[in-house]
Amino acid sequence: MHAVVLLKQILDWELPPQRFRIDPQTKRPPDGLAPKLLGPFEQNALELALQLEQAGTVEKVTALLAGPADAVEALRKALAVRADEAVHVEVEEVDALDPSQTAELLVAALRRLGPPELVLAGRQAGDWDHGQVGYLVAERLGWPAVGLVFRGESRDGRLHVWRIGPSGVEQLAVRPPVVLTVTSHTDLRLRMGSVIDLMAANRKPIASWRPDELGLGSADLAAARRLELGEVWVPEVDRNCELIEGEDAAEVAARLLDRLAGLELLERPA
Amino acid sequence: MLVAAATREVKWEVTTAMAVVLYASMVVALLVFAYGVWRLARVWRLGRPAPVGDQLGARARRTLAAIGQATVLRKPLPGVMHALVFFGWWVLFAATVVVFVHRGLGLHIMQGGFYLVFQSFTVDLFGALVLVGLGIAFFRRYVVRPPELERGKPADALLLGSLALIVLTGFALEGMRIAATDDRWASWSPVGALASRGAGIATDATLTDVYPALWLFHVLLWHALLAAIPYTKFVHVFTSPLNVFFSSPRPPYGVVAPTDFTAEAVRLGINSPSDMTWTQLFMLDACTECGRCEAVCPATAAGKPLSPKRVILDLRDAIRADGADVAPLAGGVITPEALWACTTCRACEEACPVAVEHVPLIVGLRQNLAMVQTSVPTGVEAIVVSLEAREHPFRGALSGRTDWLQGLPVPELSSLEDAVDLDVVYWVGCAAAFDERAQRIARSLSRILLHAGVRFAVLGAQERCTGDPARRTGNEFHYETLARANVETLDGAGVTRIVTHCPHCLQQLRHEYGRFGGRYEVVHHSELVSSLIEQGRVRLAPGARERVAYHDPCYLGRYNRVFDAPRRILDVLPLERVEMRRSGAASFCCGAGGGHAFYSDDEGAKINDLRVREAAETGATTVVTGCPFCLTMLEDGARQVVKEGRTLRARDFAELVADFLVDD
Amino acid sequence: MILAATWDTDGLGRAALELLGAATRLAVELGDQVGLAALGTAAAAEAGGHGAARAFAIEGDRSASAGDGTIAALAELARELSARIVLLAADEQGGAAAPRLAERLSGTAVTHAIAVEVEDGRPAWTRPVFGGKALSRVTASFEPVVATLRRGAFEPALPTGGSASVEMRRAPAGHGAVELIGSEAAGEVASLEEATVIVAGGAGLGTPEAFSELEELADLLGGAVGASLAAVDAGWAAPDRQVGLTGKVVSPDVYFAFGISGASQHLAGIGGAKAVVAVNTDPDAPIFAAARLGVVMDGRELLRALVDELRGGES
Repeated sequence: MHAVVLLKQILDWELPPQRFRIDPQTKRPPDGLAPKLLGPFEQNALELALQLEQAGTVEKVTALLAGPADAVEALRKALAVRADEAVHVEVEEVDALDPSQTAELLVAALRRLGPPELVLAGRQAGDWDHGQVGYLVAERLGWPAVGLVFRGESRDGRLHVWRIGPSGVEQLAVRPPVVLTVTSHTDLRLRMGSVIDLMAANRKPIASWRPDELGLGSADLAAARRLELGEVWVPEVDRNCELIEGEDAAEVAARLLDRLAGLELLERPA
Repeated sequence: MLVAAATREVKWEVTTAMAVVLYASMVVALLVFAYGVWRLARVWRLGRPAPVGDQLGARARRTLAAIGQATVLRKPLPGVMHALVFFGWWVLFAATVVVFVHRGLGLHIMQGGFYLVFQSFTVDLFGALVLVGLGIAFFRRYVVRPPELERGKPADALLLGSLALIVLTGFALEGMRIAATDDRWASWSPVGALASRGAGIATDATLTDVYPALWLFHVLLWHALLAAIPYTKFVHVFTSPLNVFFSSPRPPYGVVAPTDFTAEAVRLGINSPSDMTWTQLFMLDACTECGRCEAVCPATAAGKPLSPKRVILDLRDAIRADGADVAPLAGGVITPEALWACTTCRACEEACPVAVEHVPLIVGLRQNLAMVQTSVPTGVEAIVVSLEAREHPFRGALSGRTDWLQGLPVPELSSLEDAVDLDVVYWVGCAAAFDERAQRIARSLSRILLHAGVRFAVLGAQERCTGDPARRTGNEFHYETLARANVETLDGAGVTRIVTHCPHCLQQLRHEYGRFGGRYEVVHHSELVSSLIEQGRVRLAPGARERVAYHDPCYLGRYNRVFDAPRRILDVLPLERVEMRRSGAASFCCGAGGGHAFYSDDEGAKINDLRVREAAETGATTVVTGCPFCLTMLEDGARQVVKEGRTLRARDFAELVADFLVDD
Repeated sequence: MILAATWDTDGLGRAALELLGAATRLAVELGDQVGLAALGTAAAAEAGGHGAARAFAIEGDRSASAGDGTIAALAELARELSARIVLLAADEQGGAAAPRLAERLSGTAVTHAIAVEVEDGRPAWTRPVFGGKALSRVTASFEPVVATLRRGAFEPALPTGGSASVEMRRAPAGHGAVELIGSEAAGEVASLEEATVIVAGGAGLGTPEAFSELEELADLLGGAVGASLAAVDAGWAAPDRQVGLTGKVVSPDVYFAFGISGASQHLAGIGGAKAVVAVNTDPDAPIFAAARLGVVMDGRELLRALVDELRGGES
């Protein structure tokens, strides 16, 4: 089975809220505010794909990324952890694309790549947090999709996956082709690449495709847009924290509970 | 009779047959010895080349000092024990040579005054001292039983016993000869004379019967011991001084061997004997199993699964047994837990009397774990990920590189034309940028420098981690990426003089960046502030004399030998400075080294707790240090102590100076 | 038609009521009607009493194709009703259904909405971006809009005294490529997303034993226990307790953070809390910047004192 992992490079999500800025003109963080990294859920998806390959369920893992030229770093990282191939769909203004347009590009690329039998995506991209692309890709390919997966195993000819369900964990059996969106889990921390693999990854060729090569001219892409982005702003946060003090823990506890009751946040038991 | 005629019959009662046995057994012993050496050398030859011909003068001086027992005597009791046995043995050996020269070569030197003063008196005295030394050794090993000595090895008792037996039989033989020949010069050999009284009980006939047998025993035992040298820890008599000669020239201290990433077949760390240099393999055979490294190791003291002695001996034994086919060294022969427990504090190296270099070996093994096996603790992985992404190891940091300034008028280098007009560039480091507590060090130092009128600037956003946490955890690739980029930045801005408050940054900028072309004059802030105070450029106010204890950071003290400057500063301030039990070069690590500021081991106690208790014992209310990581560790540990009702806080000495500054 | 859709079977839960509340407001501003589709007649029957003009119950195997049949049924219903807006809860099912529903209706999906305003006759949706560090306003280019609404962000519908008869619809069988094998309930532990009070612990508590004390406090306050990533990584709490960017995003009335430093990824999960109570020995810990009330004290000590106080206060 050939698996393709959808990757995205996003702004360092660990940037603290106090330092976060939005440029009102571009409607996104200014360049250079923080480094760009392979997104956390995309890392989980890549790790899951590699685990499936190690288990023999998947024979080939291809990393696919739509983004600007410097986002190729994320593909190098994928190669450094032993993804077999990497494909870069070069889109300078990937942040300006909405989920539908992104899905359109990725579907075209996936068709050119096979299509494969398995597509893994992060549950959402840690920048715009839509959580739509995986499902839109599935719909446009005419495939089923299973979301919030954190584990997969081949059994009785089908792919069994475990995912976060409404009341706990659900186990599903799927027959590929299928799209999985992957969520975070302690077992899905992306492995470290050995330095040998890192160095080899830097020398490996990465295919680069432009949207028009995939049959998507600028008019086609524009037509695929569904969402219009209006304003983007950083909300004012009231940073006044009221400190509760006291002689000892018992006094503090009592005062705290009283204050919470006073603010009508808690009911004070009699 | 004239003194000049004083002599004795050499080979009294020694027949030709016995002489043949002497020489034959000597030849056999030498052959066995040679074979033993050949076996050892086979292992040494597995190693990579290493230069030992540079700085010959310094190497020779260090070796002579070691042979002179300087390093051994750092620990009094075993030091005296060894010095007695060592010098005593040399004298006894010289005596044998004298006999050979007199009898074998026919040069009759063994007579007259020389015979009496040296061959009789001095030799007897030193022989007795050998016995005293051996007595101390027995006492220490079997009565006191320090935990760092090896146990359960019969060879230890056998060797000590054999040595003692040789000397005792030697005295017995002397006594018998004196008694049987009525030697008139006997009083010049006090021990022999004593022995002769005992021997005098027996008849001359008995003596002459027993003497040859005892003589043969004495000779054969000595030859057996000779032959056994390369098969026992006695090999150290040759390997130890040689190892001192071969050991890395110091300063610099603790430098890790570089990795050549451009090589055809890149060697990443140590996992087999052929990854080690021949000097490292040789070093394993220089270990005398004295256990001093283990006795000072903070990880061992905290009950962690690391003993530096065990690292050396386990490697030695495994490689001796299996040679090139030995099991994987990194993670196999030496467990990952042991390797990751090391704080790279160099206390082991400082204590080792024979210049074994444990730390580069441990880091070399870590390199293989990190770069090839990708088997590292989660916290170490986090360091690498953060360095890769953000060029600093402080994951989740809420500040930027210059937030610590908080309005202080310190310029950024990029806003100036160039660095030429500056006295110094202040390398702030990641801790003071991203750790809220450590930011106060940077502000304090800046205030001091501004007050003293020093023209300085900081690199601001251009600064990136020096790479020390990556290097010490074996991640050489990430280290080099950072180091090269830093050198480019510094050289591009024309920086030549740097001051830093972080001993880890100091180590990198001063000693380890040279490989990448970075050559700078780097001082620790204690050295700079101390000299500013001496120049009278710092005005200080009086104050209440608080009792403070100074904690020597490992990377400032043992790595960069800066011990006095911080103390001089504290002595100028209105403080009562006291020393902790383990200070200076014997300082006890705070526990943050080797990357441990960013990850902790699962096992054992916390090293910083041990150190904080030591500080509290002095009665000091503040423990002062000169490293942001020591500061964090000591402060964390102090919270525990404070809960128990004592007063203890941790501060960098820059903060103390800033407290006492008199600003206009 | 503004169609609210819920997976509730036995009665309208709070989430569904919030959907109805939002639907009602939108209906007023757009001059439209409210409809509700639920998976059970019992839930659908309550819709009329909470502002719905029409109520639908979707029958069929809920688990078929892991809910694909339900999505197909909703799509059919939305087409039938010419729904302009479809509202779903921003939970596991809603998040999975919205994009697919939008696609089948050739419309637009808007996820994680926390507010909506009608401008020029079109709804403009406010949604958090960059892990909650910023907010954005989006409008749809194509109708219908399928929007998922964040829990606790919208006022629930009040009882109106009205009624609507339940109309039945049948869910098709689905494609069969996905089969639900089984599901393991999260246990009797209260769900973090539903909780109005959360008592969370972090590495600063120092020991895993503190978590049983957290359970006690949660019980006394009628809340749920949460954990920081550090505590989960240390094995002190199960992964499904983790609150944060890579865990659960919660919106309780009160969020107690014991021994949690307040790393940004954790703060990203509690942005929806009405009030955060931060307890930490480090006065410089970033959690205080996000808190309404703070106590600089050892978390465990305060934990025990609170439990004592609450126990002692019980008659």
